[in-house]
Amino acid sequence: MSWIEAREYRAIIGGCFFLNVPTIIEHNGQQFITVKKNSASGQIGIDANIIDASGKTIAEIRNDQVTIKDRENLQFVSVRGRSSIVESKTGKILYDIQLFSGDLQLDFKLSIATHLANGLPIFLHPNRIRIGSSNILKPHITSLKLATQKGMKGPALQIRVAPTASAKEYLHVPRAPMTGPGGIIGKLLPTKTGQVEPGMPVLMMVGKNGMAANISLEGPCYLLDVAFENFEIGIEIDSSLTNRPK
Amino acid sequence: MEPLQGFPQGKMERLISLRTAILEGWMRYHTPIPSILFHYTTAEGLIGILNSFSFWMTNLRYMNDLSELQYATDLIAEILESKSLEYASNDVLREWFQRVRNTFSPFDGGTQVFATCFCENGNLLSQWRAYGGKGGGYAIGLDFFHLVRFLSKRCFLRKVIYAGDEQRRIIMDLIDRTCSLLKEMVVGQDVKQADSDNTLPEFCLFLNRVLGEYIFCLKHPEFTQEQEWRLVYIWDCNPILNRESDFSDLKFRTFGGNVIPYCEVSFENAIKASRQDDYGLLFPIQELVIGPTLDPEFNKQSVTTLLTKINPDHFPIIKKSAIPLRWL
Repeated sequence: MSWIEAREYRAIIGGCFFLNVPTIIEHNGQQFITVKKNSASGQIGIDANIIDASGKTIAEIRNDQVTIKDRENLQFVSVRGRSSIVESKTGKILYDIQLFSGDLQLDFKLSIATHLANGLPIFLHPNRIRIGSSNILKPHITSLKLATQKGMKGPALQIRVAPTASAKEYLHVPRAPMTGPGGIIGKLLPTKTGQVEPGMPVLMMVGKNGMAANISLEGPCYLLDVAFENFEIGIEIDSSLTNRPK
Repeated sequence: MEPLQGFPQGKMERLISLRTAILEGWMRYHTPIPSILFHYTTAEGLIGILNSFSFWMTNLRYMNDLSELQYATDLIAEILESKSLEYASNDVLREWFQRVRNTFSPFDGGTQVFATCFCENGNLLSQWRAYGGKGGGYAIGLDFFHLVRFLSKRCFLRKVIYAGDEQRRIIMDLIDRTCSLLKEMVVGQDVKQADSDNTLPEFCLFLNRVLGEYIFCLKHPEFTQEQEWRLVYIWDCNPILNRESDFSDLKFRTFGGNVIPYCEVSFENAIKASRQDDYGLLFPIQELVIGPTLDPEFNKQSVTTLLTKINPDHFPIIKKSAIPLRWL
């Protein structure tokens, strides 16, 4: 049975909708969650590493098979169509996947709590994505649809995170217009503060010729109910600084 | 599973093996848990559940329809009766059947079973009729896969089995396998000898414990469409017999002029954990279905606000039943 990268799928990953996005998150040119498909059975599988804050790989998932490296602290829970990695002492759920075979609406739901190699926390929580600091208060990007034509290059969201001693509390997004390969693609609805706020209205980011481009953001962020459709990369993280205490 | 005093270790090990094998087969009926289970309630119930983050678990003996339990009890009694004839030639087994028939009901002992009901289907006309007869019913959809670990009480979920043939097969299989092991263990013994090392009492307890769980999972085939699951909490205590115990959890309400014992199971810990990113726990309320009502859109807005107030970091899925109100 051979497993290949799945270029076409529908999934809820970190509470956000992903449609046909081969690279969900990329950091320094490296993707750390890959959606795969069994070429014979069509079964969906995931490749991912669960990395703790110290940079140690504590669990590996390859073609939907889970290998626990830290058996003392982690347990694997599995029933048909669902499997999870749970931290024994705290009950924290580090990995949870539900596969929906035969469900045309959705192929799977996935949540993962992990870290980048530089110690930056990435929480693909079942209801939201959090990237960056552990001190974010409420800088949400809410109800946003990022869509493009199939095969378009570039990420939907590029996030630059430079961890500092004092975490940024607000996520500033560039004011409109935003441009990309398709030209001017739309604008975020203006807010009084110039910040993205909870409950922000839906914005269709579809530009000229049906193309859209990436949005650059600075600082850690929450993503709620964001849809990523047809981008090559969902979220690209630019964070060269280490987040780990020296 | 603590053995009775004097019950030989070797026999206990074999009984535990049998129990493990039976439970393995039994658990196949109850896994996997559906990704969403729905609890039907009224508008008052919905607000109560979402304000207190808890469900009321009613003592099963006092559930709305007492005939539900009577059905399972009668079925087990009937099968025990017919099986006792099959094994009547063996004195020890005959005595065992006699004792089991008199004691298998969990409601006669100290154990109290509390439960809350859930359905696989979030839009059932029969449930809307029961919980929102004049409109205004709601179905709260929860994902129990991880949630069950975060509940305030050690609860478990069991699927209700409706198929008559299946129910009989399960009970007969349990009795046959238990009889087979008991028969093997008491070869050459009479009742007195089988009692002397507590073999007979231990086997009675064994069957009663397993049947005690079966009894709240079997329902009349007429109710098949309910696709019910029960969140169950077993309180191994009888307030009348154990007066030293803590009964602060035990509460009472009225229904139809009757006094109904219940206890609450809180999911507040799950709500709190779901707000923390590093817990990886889904917001427990995955979906809310508004039953047939005069103005579903009106209710949808208020219910959305109610759920958003609980967790602003979650977009609740709120559906409206398409069943016409006049059908209620």
